Amino acid sequence: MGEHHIIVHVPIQLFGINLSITNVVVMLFVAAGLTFLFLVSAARALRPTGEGRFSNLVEVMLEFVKENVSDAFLGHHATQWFPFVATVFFFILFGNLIGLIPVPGYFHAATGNLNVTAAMAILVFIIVQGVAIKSQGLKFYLHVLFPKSAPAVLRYTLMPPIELIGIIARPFSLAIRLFANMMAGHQIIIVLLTGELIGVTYLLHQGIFLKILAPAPLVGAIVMNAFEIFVAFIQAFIFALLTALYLGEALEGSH
Amino acid sequence: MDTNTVVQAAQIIGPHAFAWLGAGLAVGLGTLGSGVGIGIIFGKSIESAARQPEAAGLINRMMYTGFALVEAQALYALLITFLLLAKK
Repeated sequence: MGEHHIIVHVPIQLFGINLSITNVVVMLFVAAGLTFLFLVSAARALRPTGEGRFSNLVEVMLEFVKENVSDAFLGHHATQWFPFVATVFFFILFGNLIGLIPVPGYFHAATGNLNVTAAMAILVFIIVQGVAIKSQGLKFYLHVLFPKSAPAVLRYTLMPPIELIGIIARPFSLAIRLFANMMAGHQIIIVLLTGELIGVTYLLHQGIFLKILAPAPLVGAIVMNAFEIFVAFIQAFIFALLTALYLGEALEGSH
Repeated sequence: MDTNTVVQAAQIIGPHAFAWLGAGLAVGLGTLGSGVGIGIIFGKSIESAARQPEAAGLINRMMYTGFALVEAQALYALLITFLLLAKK
């Protein structure tokens, strides 16, 4: 877990809070910059004669997010909240994908850090609670903690603690799911390439019998890299989907 | 295998012997449930797609959604493993 050392590039201390520009912060800037460039460059091509392959690609991805995430869960607030959901999706997608660029000292996944994913999960949690209170008032908590779909015996005794734990567990699960998926994939690749007893670099230093076996973990690392691309897309999709789900619950009322 | 043997083995391995044992057990037992869950999800998805091929697109999307949520459970266990292995 401590594979990535925090390298401070520009130390900034503001009111006693450490706001230094570290290598993780640089990765976050790169991810945000890529998101911005990706989406803005497609928006600029929204002229009748300005269709190119790149803006087609962006449109396909946005259409996918709109149809499967936004329209499915948000009802008639879909167009209002779609920009937020799409931004979350693309930011996490680029944050995940940067980790696949093989420049070992400088590029690593911005979302492979629990601080980053916890910050995003807390942000989503605060936004969802704020939207819930704004659109339904405090009756929202009555509907959630004392759900009408439970028999009256359980509704006031057993359901409130369970539902409360469910609400509190959501940001945790969002943060840990994204972080663990990213970190586990990269750890497996690192272990396959440089680990003791099974890594490619270890096998290449041994006798001739083990040297012949060296391509096997290399093929494994290549396959894991391909799987990591798949996981990057899926985890971004899942985070955006759960964000839209919680927003839909907050906007419409649950149970 | 009585407690004396276990204590002697732990003393040979080192001060964090049980942390390493727990790390191995955590990820091993954690992926059991995830494996069963993924098998059920994909089996049912393939079955229902074979029943109604025109719903295959929707079933595909729900399948990947379910897969990610179930895979996360195994990764919670893997997180505990990494936390335990980080003990020096």
